[in-house]
Amino acid sequence: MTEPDWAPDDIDIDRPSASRIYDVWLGGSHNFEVDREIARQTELAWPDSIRYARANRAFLGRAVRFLAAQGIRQFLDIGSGIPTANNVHEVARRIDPDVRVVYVDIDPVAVAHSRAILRDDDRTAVLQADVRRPHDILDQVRRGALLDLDRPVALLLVALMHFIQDSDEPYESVTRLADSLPSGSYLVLTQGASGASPEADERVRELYRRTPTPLTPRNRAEIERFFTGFELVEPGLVNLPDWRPDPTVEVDDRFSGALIYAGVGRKP
Amino acid sequence: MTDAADGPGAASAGLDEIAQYWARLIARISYVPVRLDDLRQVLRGYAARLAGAGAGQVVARDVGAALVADGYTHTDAVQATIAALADRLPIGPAGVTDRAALLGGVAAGYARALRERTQSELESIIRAVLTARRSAEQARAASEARFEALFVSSASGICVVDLENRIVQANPALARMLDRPVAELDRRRLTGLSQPDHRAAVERALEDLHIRRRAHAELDAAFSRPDGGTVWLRLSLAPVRHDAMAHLVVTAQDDTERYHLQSALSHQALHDPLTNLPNRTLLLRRLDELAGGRQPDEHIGICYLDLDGFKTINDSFGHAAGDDVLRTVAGRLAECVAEPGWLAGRLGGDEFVIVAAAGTELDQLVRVAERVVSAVREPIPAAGHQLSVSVSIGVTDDRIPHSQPSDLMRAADIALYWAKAAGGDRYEIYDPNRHDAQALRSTLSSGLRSALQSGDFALRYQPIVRLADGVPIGAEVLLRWTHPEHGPIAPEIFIDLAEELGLIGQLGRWVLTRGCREAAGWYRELGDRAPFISVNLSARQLHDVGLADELLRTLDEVGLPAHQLQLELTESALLGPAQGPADALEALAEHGVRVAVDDFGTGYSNLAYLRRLPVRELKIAGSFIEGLAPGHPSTPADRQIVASVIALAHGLNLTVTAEGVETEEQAHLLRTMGCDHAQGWWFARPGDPEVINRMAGGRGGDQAGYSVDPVTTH
Ligand SMILES: C[S@@+](CC[C@H](N)C(=O)[O-])C[C@H]1O[C@@H](n2cnc3c(N)ncnc32)[C@H](O)[C@@H]1O
Repeated sequence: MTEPDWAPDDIDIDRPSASRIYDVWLGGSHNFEVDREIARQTELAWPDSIRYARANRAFLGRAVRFLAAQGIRQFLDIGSGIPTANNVHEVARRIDPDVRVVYVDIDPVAVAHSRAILRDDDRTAVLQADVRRPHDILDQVRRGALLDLDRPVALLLVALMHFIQDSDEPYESVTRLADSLPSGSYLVLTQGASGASPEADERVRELYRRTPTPLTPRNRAEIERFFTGFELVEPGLVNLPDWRPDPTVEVDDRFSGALIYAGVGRKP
Repeated sequence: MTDAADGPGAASAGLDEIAQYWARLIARISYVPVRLDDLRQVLRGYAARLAGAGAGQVVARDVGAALVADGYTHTDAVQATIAALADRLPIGPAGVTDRAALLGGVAAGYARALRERTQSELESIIRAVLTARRSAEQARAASEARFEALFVSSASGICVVDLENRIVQANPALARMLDRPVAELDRRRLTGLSQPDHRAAVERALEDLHIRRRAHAELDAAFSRPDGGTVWLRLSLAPVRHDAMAHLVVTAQDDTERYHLQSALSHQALHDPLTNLPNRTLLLRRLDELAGGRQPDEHIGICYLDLDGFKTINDSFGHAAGDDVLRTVAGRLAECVAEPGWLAGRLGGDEFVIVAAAGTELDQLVRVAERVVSAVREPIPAAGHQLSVSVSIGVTDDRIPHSQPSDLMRAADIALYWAKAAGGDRYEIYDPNRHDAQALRSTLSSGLRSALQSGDFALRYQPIVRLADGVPIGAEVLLRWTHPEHGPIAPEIFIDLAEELGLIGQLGRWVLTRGCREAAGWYRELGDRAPFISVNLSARQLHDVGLADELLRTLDEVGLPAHQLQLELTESALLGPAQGPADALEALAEHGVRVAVDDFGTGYSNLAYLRRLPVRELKIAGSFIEGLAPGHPSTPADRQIVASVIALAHGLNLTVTAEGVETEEQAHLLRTMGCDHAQGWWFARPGDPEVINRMAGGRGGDQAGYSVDPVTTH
């Protein structure tokens, strides 16, 4: 007997959600006043919020392009959020149209929306699942048979792990997922370490406590631990904008004072 | 979004410039990373359309909408566009279009497109909310339906209890287990349904969960059914997760069968299957418990029991009879040890142990030991016979505060050994100042080997007199062993030792040869007036294949006529199923050897053997004679028995010897009852062979006047 993770009452436009707040910063309108309110309040504490969001999104695009160039054709994107511009499958398909992507999110609204958008795409799938229950994710992935877990897969945990508290054993989850992927697979991960100031960070944490997914920032060493069993590719674990920046691309991702670590690791 | 109509060459250079500037402004506010070159290309197209011949409101609005479609949804994008175009956009060849109006068209197109996009995104997210809510509801309904089905049809008992441990909801399986209708369980306290002994444990487990000391608990508890029966439930408790109401869900498995099986198994594991008494494990566990839980001044008392001569019973009557004896003894033991908190069990073989309750005083322990000794003496029906059995008991009450149960057992074992050494059929109390029995035993073992050579063994002769005239007609030979250090050793001890060491055959032969040689001396001196010699023969000796030949050869060697030898056999020795001993006896009897039944009446009730075997004489055990003294509690019965034995013997043409005659009255009584012969302290104590010689030579004389050295066994 599995209980639904989100009770219907939780699916409420009165409760802000991380995926929709993120959508606010990416210029989307898939959000409600409660979400915009948190976004605004967060911007007060972190004036660079929009830049963080964009920089994160830009990194995701660079990482996916890099992986596609390495020959990766399968992506497991956990904490995928609400589809917006430059989704993983769109970016990757510019290199190979045959790319397969499984999107996973815990937020049922993000999932429902993703399904609506991707309804006619048979090379993508959208699962509602919780990264804290990796077995469930793997089961669903295997059942869906869209990804072949015997061949390399890129596991994307982008801007996700800071939503997982230490008591929920984030490292164990990542290890479980990683263990079921073959050598040659990749882990792509970003996670926030600190924002403008300790006070500002605390304020933001407080704001996110209103969502179902409160924040847990981690320091560099703690984030690096997620890559146990992976070899970080150049330039290693760095601040978001510094990961293989694309000089030809114009993006306003220069932010100061904040540290959001990004890294890509390869499973040997 | 591509260039529809590019302007003429002159304007083109201007358009590139415009696009360059425009792109820089827009890129900065772009949500999406974009290549500046790509963006410039796109924007150049838009600028060209606006500057083109067909430019007008329609085109302007198109361009505005295209900006939204390209993702420049930040409203600053309009500002940037106007800033880039206001002063630079060339007026089209038609010249009619006002620049401001054109830019107004772009802004209007942008605004409308943005509104539409915003609206459609909002609609799509609301649709997503509705879809998500619907599927969550479906999932919940499905889950509830599953839960309902699970709850109702589960074989496990399930109930939900509130903070007060009252049952809020219970399923049919639980109702079945408790044998009550579901409705009757409603609002009942779970603790109240459990049996009193288990309430505290159930309460504690529930409490632990309520106060979140634990997230999960499991326990076994007994519950009462309305019919008075008991059901054992294995309970598993957990808090209800998504409920602010602090409920607990309890699942229950009916464990009654397994519980019974387990308790049967543990009974089996802790009890001796033959006697159903507690076994060694349980006894030792009990001792450990007592040792662990006692107060400093509390003693632990135990009795260590061992049946006397149990091996002989097994040897002569078979193991089935031996088992009967053990069962009967066990039953009597259990009756004797009825005090609460005491435990009587079987250690193994013919060894039993009684463990007294904590704080028992020594005199209580001794009373129990006395009771057991006399209870065991009562004849035991086994394999169709009435066997007489006795027990030796070592008693100890431990006054050493920190001694271990094993020390206690050793002490009791030593005392038991003393009881055996003293002849059995008694108890001895352990005294730490007495010799260590184990050491004694090993000295005796080594002593026994050399004793045969060194002449530490000696024979004593107890006259058997004719009651009619007091004439000694025979002498029973008794084996004595005087250890150089330890003095006289009880026959029970050294016979056992000799058996253990494999020396019994040798010892038996030695007794026979020595006795016969002595008797031959009497015979040479006194001729037919010489007393015969009466020698005890063990069951084992009787079973020796060469017995008859060897005996006849010995008689020949020492020069003793066969009729001057009497063999005393106990009933049990006579009664083995084997034919060999009967043949041997037959052969010996034919040569004239006398066969007497020793301790007649104490062992065997089937008298058929008297017809079958060449028996000449019955010897009545001393215990019956003891009862002949007036005032003795068993006088009437014993007199009856003795009279019957005499009548029986005479009826079969056998003679009767009374053993253990100690008083004049007894002697007198036996004479009047027609008993033929007697022996005992009243007539003479066992003495040296010369005494017999003298007595027989003198004939008659004062019966009480024989002065014979008394030989004590200790
Ligand atoms: C900030 S968004 C990141 C979206 C996308 N990965 C990106 O980086 O552009 C984080 C997403 O993680 C999701 N999320 C939070 N906790 C999650 C969990 N335990 N399991 C799966 N997804 C989770 C949120 O619902 C949200 O959509």
